[in-house]
Amino acid sequence: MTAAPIEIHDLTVSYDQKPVLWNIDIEIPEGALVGIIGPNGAGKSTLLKSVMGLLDPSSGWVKIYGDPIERQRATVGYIPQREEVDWDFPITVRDLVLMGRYGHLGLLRRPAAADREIVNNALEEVGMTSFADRQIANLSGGQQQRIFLARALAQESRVYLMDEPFAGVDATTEKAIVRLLKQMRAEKRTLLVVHHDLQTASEYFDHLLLLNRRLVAFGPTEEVFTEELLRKTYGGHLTVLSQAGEAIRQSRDGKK
Amino acid sequence: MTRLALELSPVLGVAQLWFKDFDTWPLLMALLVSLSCGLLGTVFLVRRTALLGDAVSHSVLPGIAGGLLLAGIVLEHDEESAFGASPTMLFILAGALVAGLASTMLIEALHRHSRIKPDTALGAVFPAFFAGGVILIRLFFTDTHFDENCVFYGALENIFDFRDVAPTLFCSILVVLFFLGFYKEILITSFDRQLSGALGLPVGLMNLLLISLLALAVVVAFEAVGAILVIALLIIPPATAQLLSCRFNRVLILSALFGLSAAFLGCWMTIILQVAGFATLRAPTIAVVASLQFLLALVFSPAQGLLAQALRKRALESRILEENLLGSVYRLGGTPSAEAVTLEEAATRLGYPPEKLGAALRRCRIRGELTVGSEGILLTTQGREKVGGIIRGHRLWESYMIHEMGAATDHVHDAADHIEHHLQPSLVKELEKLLGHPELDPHGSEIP
Amino acid sequence: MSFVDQTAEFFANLVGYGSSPGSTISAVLGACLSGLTCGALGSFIILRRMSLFADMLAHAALPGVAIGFILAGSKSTPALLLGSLVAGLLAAALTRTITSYSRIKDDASLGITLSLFYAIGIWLLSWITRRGGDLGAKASGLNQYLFGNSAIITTVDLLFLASAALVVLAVIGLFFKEISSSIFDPSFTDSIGLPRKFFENLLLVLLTLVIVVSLKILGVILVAALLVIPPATAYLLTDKLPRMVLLSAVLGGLAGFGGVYLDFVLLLDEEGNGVGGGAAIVCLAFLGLMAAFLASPRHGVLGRYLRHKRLGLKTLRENLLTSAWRIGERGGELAAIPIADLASERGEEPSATRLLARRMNGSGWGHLQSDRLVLTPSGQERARTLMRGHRLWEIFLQREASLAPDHVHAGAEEIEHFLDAETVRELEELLDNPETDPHGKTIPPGEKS
Repeated sequence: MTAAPIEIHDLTVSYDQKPVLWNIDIEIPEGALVGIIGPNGAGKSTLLKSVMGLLDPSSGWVKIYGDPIERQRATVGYIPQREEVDWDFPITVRDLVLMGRYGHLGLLRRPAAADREIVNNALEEVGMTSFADRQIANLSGGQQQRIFLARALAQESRVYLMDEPFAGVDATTEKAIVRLLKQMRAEKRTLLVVHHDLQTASEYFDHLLLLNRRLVAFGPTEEVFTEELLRKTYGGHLTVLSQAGEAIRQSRDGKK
Repeated sequence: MTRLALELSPVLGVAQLWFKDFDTWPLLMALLVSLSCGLLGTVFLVRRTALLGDAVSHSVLPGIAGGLLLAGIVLEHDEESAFGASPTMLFILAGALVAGLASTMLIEALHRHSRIKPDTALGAVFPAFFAGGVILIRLFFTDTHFDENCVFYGALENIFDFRDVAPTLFCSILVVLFFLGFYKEILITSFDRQLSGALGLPVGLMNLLLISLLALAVVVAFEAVGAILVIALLIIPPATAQLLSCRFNRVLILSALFGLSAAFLGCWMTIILQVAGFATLRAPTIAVVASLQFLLALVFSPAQGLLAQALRKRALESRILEENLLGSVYRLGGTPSAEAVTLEEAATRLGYPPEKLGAALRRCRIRGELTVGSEGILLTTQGREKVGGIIRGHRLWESYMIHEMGAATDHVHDAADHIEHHLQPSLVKELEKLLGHPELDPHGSEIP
Repeated sequence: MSFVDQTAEFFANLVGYGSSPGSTISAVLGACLSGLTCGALGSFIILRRMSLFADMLAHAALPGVAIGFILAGSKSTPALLLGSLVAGLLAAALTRTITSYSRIKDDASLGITLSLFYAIGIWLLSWITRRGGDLGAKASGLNQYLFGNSAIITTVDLLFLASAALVVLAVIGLFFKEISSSIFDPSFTDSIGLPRKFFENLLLVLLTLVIVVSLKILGVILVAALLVIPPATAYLLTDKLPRMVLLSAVLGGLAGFGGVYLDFVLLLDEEGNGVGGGAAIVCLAFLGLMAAFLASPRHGVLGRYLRHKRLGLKTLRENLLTSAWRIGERGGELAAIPIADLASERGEEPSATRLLARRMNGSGWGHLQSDRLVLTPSGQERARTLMRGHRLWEIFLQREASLAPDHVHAGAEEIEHFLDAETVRELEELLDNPETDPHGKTIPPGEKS
């Protein structure tokens, strides 16, 4: 039996001594297009970052195809939220997309013609070829998102983690992204996408992960997108989790 | 008696020093400078622009040089001491103000009207101004008016009378009055710009006043501690204060106090060191003393210090060990009606080497939670109550995880093991309510 | 000696003649190398927002210099360099520790470390120079480390400078993509498995190295400026990172050269000693920054101002065109419209209209002639396109933005200048190719009609 693309076991992640994700336990099947939904502060970005190994868990582990993330870097592509980048940085759109190949190149090697070819294809997939040689400032939200997508495509990964790719993009870009996601799924890639809009979530994704600091439910959209589960996700008895988290923080930190 | 006298003589010697060689004017100067810088520095520190003070202290140099030049032309006579209360000083102050304000405006303009970032703008403008000042000095003041050393070491040693101190006194009074008069405005404009705007507070005017006062303070401190060491007095005492308190007014006062004490101790230590054969100057000594104060606070601050952090961590670890010990004794049946439990058994259950539990055992015994007899360890009634509470919390949490978080039954034990040490009684009550006062845990064991 | 004579002397020295060829050549070489290296590395430093960190490191090197001197018993370059390197790295560690273990923020932490180390340095220096005796005598000139002085560069210093330059350039060349990726997008770099932390630390070590070898020339206070000012200048002049690094290095080297030259020529004291390169180099570099700030074609202030003015003129001219079109619609002759008619259409004095019409000259759209606005075919075409865009936008506002018909005009007035062909086509599609606007006016047909 081959290992699942993503296996998360009893994952608890803390921020500033306080747990923000509690005992997450899931297995994502291959080729799934998963939408992660939940209210603000639910820990959705934290979950992605933990899977990527950018955050250390307080307990539990994550495996990609049966291996820890450190050994599967080339297999997983990550598209973070857009704001985290300096748009005045003196690089062009093409340079940014080319960075997607750096993982495959490793240290010291220079990009070859094949790499540049992949970059061109990626740019074309997202419709940004005409912007290729422009510096990255002065792009609209949708265009910014597209070049990050192109970078991810250039990575040629099997698993993709995306943090709110639809936030702040125009309708055309949104449609383009959805089309791209479905195409990637057809190519048997596994996609884990943090999404902010309930309405479209049920349309775009074939699996949903309902998250609010702990796993509420995970499964095929038809099964999981129910009123009861949604209420549990967005409402719910979370004072217990908050209080427990606060208690842990206080005893570790001493500050009130 | 002779022995006593001999033993006391170094102390007497120092005391003699105190009264004979201890010059009060330099001390007064140092105290005044520390006061102004401590207060002003706090504001810049909380605004996260601590290095603006560094910048202004460098960028006033061309202003000082320019002022001196102008004074030389206008006043047509040479002043021996340029820094005491004299007409020349007015020119110098004016020049420093202009330079200080010009440099901050230029920094602002650079990052507002181009893509240059604020820290780059800062790092570009103030050295340039400083360099300009250096060139002016070298071109026009190749004689002793401007001892290069003075710029760096300061010359507290050259303060001889009131006239030297007067401008600094004036500046300190201004600064104190400013803080007394505008405390509220300073507080709000420092913490919440938008609120200040909404309240109609003159944010821009505040900034202007602060920078101007800073430029003034820097210039009058010039002779005392050198333009460069002003930065130490602007940053270190406020940072020390910040390690000890969270409230702005207290930080302000502490900051001033630490500055004053650094000045005092610094002067004092300089004398002692000089007597001991280390020729040194007051200004850097003051800065070093201030740094030592900071390092002490960093380690020993009751709330935030490194020591406090380490102690807290240890206390938590001990508590967890003790609770685990109690828990494992309970689970192995260590009640008077059952068998006593040996330390080895308890340790094995927890997966620790027995030595690790030794201290925990002792503490539990002292607290009356455990008794140690010939056969082993037993829980007292008190101990049993305590354990009961913890295990209750543990099992309730397991139920919570299964019912509310959809966790698998075989996954919940470890998590509950970790969290049981942090569950306060109020939280446990809430869990009970939530779960409908269950009697059995997910594994079928009774909930105490 | 006059300025010209001094210049001649300077260049004579450079080629081996003159009174002090050795020291001049060393000074120039040292300053250029320093400027080059600082410039190249500085590009990464400012992009990583480490400018103030560099300043801190420079100040923190001072006690290292003093301790190196004390331990070695002389001003031996390797000793002083090693001392400063160790001091710099310790300071970096202290800064990080303070922010990690307390609530003190980055800027304050830098300031604390800076002041502490600097104070210790000054303290040690003052002790050394006052001490007298053997050590005290040898210490004269340690003060130079504060302001810098390119005139006292020795061959050993040059060797160290050259080696540092080689190391820095080699690292930048070999690891360009790794370093720029680490700076631009740290979490992405982590996610693809490149050793980001290693490269950040490498940057730190290189920074300390560069600062330490440049101390003698630029001095503790000013060396960081050469890591900031030339890169900032290059930043305003190009949008490509490799070019920025190259340009920055060149600018740094030029500043070094120019600074030493100025030092030699203008700033001599009675004994004929220069001011010491640091100040002149930095001032020169700063002038370059100001020039770029003002005049950079893409990012300069003047450029923006001119662009703004040009836009204003274009808008003015286009408004005249649309007024002309309206007259044309009512039966006037579009090719030549009397000023008086134009004035009454626009509701202003004929003299004002005449002024505006004069500004049409040189636009290629028309000119003022015998008190008429004469429009060229391209001017008429532009008028037509403008009007089309304007009216389509009015319909758009009315239909899609629920704006009342009498409100749509003002909005369209403003936007008509910015509607490009593609947007207009989209509007047509969206609105189903309408033929009249909300006021019943005909929409001038587009290209395809």
